[in-house]
Amino acid sequence: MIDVRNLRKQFGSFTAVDDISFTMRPGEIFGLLGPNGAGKSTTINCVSGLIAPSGGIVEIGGHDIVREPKEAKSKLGIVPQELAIYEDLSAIHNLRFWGAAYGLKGETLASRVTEVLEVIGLVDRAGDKPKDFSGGMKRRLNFGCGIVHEPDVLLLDEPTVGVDPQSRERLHDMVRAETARGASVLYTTHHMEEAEMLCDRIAIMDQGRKIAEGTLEELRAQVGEQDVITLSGAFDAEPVETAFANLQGVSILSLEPGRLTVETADGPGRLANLLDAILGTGAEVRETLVRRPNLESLFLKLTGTELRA
Amino acid sequence: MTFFLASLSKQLRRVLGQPWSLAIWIGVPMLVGALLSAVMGGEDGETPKVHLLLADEDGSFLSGALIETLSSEDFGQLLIIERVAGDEGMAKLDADEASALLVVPEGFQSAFLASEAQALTLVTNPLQSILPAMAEELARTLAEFGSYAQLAFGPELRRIGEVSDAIRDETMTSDEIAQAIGALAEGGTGKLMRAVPKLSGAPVEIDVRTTEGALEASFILLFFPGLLMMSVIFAAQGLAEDLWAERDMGTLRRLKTTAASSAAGFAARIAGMALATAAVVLPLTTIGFTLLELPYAKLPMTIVWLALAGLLLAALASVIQVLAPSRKAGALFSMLVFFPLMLVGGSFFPFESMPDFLTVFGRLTPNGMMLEPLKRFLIGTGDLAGFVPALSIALIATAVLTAFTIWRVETRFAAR
Ligand SMILES: Nc1ncnc2c1ncn2[C@@H]1O[C@H](COP(=O)(O)OP(=O)(O)OP(=O)(O)O)[C@@H](O)[C@H]1O
Ligand SMILES: [Mg+2]
Repeated sequence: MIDVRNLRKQFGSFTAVDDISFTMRPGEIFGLLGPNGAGKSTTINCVSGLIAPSGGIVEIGGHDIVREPKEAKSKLGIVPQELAIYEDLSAIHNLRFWGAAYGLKGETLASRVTEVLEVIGLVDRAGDKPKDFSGGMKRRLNFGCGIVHEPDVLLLDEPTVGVDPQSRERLHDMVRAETARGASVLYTTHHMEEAEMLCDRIAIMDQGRKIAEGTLEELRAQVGEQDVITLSGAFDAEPVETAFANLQGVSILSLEPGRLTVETADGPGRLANLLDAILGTGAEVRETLVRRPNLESLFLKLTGTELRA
Repeated sequence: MTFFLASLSKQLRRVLGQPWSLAIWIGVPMLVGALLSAVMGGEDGETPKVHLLLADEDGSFLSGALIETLSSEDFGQLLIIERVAGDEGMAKLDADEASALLVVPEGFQSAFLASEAQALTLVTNPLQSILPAMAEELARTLAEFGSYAQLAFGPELRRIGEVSDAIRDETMTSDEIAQAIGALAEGGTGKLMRAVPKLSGAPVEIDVRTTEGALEASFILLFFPGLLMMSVIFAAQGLAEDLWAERDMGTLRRLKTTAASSAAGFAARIAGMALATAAVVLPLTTIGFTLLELPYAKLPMTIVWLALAGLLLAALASVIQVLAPSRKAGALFSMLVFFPLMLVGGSFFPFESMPDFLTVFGRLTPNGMMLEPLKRFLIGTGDLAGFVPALSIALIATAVLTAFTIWRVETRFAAR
């Protein structure tokens, strides 16, 4: 449904998206995971035709977004990261307008609007203006406006930012409902739990580049069965580095004064051993954290920095 | 078409959703109008008429004929012509009972018949700005005709003078008179045919003087079209600022990602602006028409014209907005441009009361350009044809400015 090949976007001399390629299949939720500024929104904006790529190709349902924008755009539904709804137009009129913008009319439009109101749970507030809505309700309407026309491809840019856990769960259900009818979804987020929970396949982005891609299983396999242990407190980097160099089966992922992250099999079992080593250098340890292999540890392993910096 | 209608309905709904803006667009000019009419001595609701006094100090056949022609001529409801003695005329003018006094001075006929240059004296009332100006124009036209007649028919006119003097003094027999008139008629007709194409030159001059006087109540009519234009300017600025509202809400960006035609979207925006402007000026126009007893038949054209002016001004305001670096800057630039335009463009002070150099400038402003034909139309000195030049300029300018706005929105403004 979506084919992105060697996508590049430059703002002046700054490269926000650097040689990104991925393919999405019908009915799949494809996650773009990355920290702030990774280039997720820029990628999605190039895919949606909002900004022109500096290089590479974006095809939607076989139509090039640059050369055949009308055909390509007609297959898209977009839920932008920033709200994009008429604050001063009631929910129902927002849905009607965006439906019409995607070419729906008459009966089809009316019945779709009713359905979407149901889906986003705003039937009771249909006649009210979003300026009086809570943040989560606005997000739901923002979502609704992108699905009125039942698009083949749905681009979702961090749709759950600032949404409470229940509303987030509800939004996830809506997304799954879209894939159930055959839509493919491009979903960006910087929450690894969200990506783990929702996405069939995930691409991890950092500083404009794709650093990993695969299903959750494939990505987990890349981390190996290693656990990640982070120790923080008061210590210098050098003595710790020397002390850990002698430890078998432990490798340092990142080390800075007061914070050490290592990778090892059977983390809980090795913890005492590790503590002995670090305390032996005269360090003071205030906090320890043992994590099972997950996307966050993969990100850490690939970039040497925490995903949630 | 569906998207056009959806956009149009969205646009109008959103305008209706800002009752405070609407109140300002409609209310401020109304308030200014109410203040003006209070200051100017109440709204007596009378359509102003050019009240032209004619004083014949020559008492000759020719001056009598001139005044007779003028006073019997039907100049419509807007021109009242009254014959007065010279002193009486000045008194009326001082009492502000008239717009101007045209004096045919002593010796007019002799000078005219001798083909000597002579002057009619027009004394105008300075406080009735537009009306004396109209009287002046009228008198000049007359003078021109007088000059043509003098050039072409000098001998005949002289003969007429002689004959009429002879009749008065009873120095000719009736046979002689009949013969003289017959000859005049014969020669005159032939000459008229030959002379018409050659008419030129105007040695009859109008000597314009002014006098003091009090203000006339219906002066408010001069302000009325300007107030309507003020309303249009407010609305145009507000409607253009909506581009920033749409940008800030992100809807402009979102729209760019849909397959909807941006041409249809902009067409709807323009139609919406025209309808909104028409709706905004409707109450003020209706009230003004009623109070000033203007013919309601002119109301539809007035509204249409104001809506068109609204498009031109909104197109200009939109360009300012899409060029501005921020919403605040946009509002500021817009005010910096439109406030002076409103000042010199006839919305606060009628052109007639402004210094000449400012008037020239004022008529060149987009609002001033649109105001002039409307004013003439409402006061009754202009007709529909008077709208044509401004209409053509307005349509072209609106198209060019709108094309620029669309280009800017598509390339820069929406995507920022
Ligand atoms: N219009 C622009 N002009 C200049 N730089 C830009 C522009 N848009 C984005 N950038 C830069 O490109 C980089 C990627 O931004 P982008 O918005 O794509 O990140 P993101 O992954 O969506 O981050 P977030 O999670 O915070 O939304 C950032 O460094 C940003 O400053
Ligand atoms: Mg983003």
